[in-house]
Amino acid sequence: MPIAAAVIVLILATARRLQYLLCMTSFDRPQQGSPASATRGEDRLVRSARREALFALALWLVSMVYTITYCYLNGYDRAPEALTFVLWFPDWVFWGIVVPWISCVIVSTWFAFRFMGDEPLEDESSLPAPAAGETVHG
Amino acid sequence: MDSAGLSVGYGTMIMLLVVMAISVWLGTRAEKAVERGGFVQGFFLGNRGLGAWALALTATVQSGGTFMGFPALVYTHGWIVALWIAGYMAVPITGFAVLGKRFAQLSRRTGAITVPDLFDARFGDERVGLVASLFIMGFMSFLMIAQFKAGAIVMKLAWPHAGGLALTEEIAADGVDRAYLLGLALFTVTVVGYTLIGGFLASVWTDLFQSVLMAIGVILLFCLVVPVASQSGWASPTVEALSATGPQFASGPGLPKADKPPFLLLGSAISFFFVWPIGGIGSPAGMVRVMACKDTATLRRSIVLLSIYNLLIYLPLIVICICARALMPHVTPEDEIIPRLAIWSTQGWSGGSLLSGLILAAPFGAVMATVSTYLVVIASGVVRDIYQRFLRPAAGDAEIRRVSRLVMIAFGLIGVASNVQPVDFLQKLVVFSATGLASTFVTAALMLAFWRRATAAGTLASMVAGAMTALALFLCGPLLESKRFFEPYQLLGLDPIVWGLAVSAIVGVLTTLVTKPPSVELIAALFGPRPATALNTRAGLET
Repeated sequence: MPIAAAVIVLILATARRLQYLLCMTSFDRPQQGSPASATRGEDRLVRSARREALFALALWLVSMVYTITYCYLNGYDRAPEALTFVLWFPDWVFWGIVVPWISCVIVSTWFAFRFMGDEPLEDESSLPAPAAGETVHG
Repeated sequence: MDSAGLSVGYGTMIMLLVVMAISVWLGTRAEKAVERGGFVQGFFLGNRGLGAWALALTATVQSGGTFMGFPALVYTHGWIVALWIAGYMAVPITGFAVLGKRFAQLSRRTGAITVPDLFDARFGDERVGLVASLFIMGFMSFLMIAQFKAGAIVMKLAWPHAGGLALTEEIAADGVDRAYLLGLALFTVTVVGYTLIGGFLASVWTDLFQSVLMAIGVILLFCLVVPVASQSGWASPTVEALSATGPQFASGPGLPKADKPPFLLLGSAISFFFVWPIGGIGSPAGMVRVMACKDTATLRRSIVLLSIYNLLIYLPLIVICICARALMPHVTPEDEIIPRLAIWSTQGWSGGSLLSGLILAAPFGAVMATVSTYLVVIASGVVRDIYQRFLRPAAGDAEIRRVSRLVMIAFGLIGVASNVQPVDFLQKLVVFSATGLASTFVTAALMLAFWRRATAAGTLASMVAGAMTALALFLCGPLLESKRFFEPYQLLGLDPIVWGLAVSAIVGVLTTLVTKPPSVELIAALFGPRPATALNTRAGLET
């Protein structure tokens, strides 16, 4: 329940149909035939940032569910005699924490280099020299 | 392996003085960088020029307290502390990818310098900014003032042959003496001094410096201690520690301290997966730093750098502390384990005392960096959100500069005054403050960044409801269960952060839905394509 509450704002903001209902205004409805229709009148950065935020929170959620479930099932109230070891780590620490931690580093790195995009932060008008290749729509 | 009677000698004092000198030098360097832009943007936001290293290693570490208490926890409770800290695996990606881009963009679009500035501009309502400012100053002053004690105690212990070796939470009855007061004075003058000179950049650079120091210390210690402890096999540190302690050392919920409740029950394990990654999102000091990042590529690189940094710090530190329990099973107080280990492992080296000094200097640097960071955020709150907004809207650069410095000196004096009799509960204050800030700001910040429909009233309600939930649960601990101060009531076994987040999200969404949607112009300006483009598009449609 609390987990659902934590991401509810993002889900609300992302579900397009629901958003039209919630907004009760037409300002973000696609304007047929205008160049903005493809972008929903939203800045490219806003959409990519929302997508990335959802990915990040999803990764957090998955790692939390996996780590806590695995450790709770395999790491709580274990008899020391039954423990096996991988490197210095008891088996449940290795498979429940070390492996997901390393996986998180790998996924985060992939995310940073492949999934996440770059957008200019400054408004074009305030940039001293606009980057080559940036064109103004419309 | 009896380590009593070992002493830090002069190494620690020398290292502390070196750390202080480098921090002051960084402060003067920062001052030069600030002079390049306007004072307010330069002093409070470093001219929005933070690169990947500065951002990665400074934006998400909660405070010096996190680093200081952690080794003692592993040493005391065993392997389960790995689960307590495991949330850090998600900290880099949540810390930079959830709010980073939008905060960096919006703060530029609106010209916001502080987090309350941003709330104000996003919702077009001064009250939102004011309430945000009050909560930030409230929660952060608490925490900042508590850190002064930590700084003073490390200085006191660093006096050659002082007897103790590390920060301990419970200061002895005779703990307040001349060495403590001198330490407090030296600490305050240094940290307020360099923050005064260099502002935001000084705090960031000293923070970066101590993070690097910490990494060097951990890697050195790992190479010195772990091979010795695991001579007879990978499993031997754990097996030896188990024989010295008890079966719970290698399993959950962890080895309890004498007549204390179990360390990490399921509910707490879940809660700490909220405290670190989600608390990191809600920390205003972190938000200010992503506002100051140079570009989006910086955010991406920071995710990678911090991921690798956390992996290299926390996992080795856990192994080191398990080995420590095998090598020296009966160290008390447990907070001294890292310095004692450092001294023990460098015995007979000529530079051994310097190395152990380095390892003690790292948390000292962390405390300095934390105080400095909070000093900047709090001063910017007082100057921007109160002085400039209500008292002197027309104040010029020179006046703002003077007032900022006066505010910092005032908070330094308050810090000293409140610590002449030191405050208790440092570690608990860290969790209290992180919980309060997360309950107040995480939902509000997500609404600010991503939800077009969000209204000023909804955001205000979410902040107040979240903060009140957290405060109420912290009050219920001592009142209903006669716990000590800052030990919360755990509803259904979960810590207040989970309830604070849930209540703030529900109240924020519901209040928003029953209030009038924000104006189309405001949303278009903040969510729409960049202004130049937007104007062209509109013009194109009209003709």
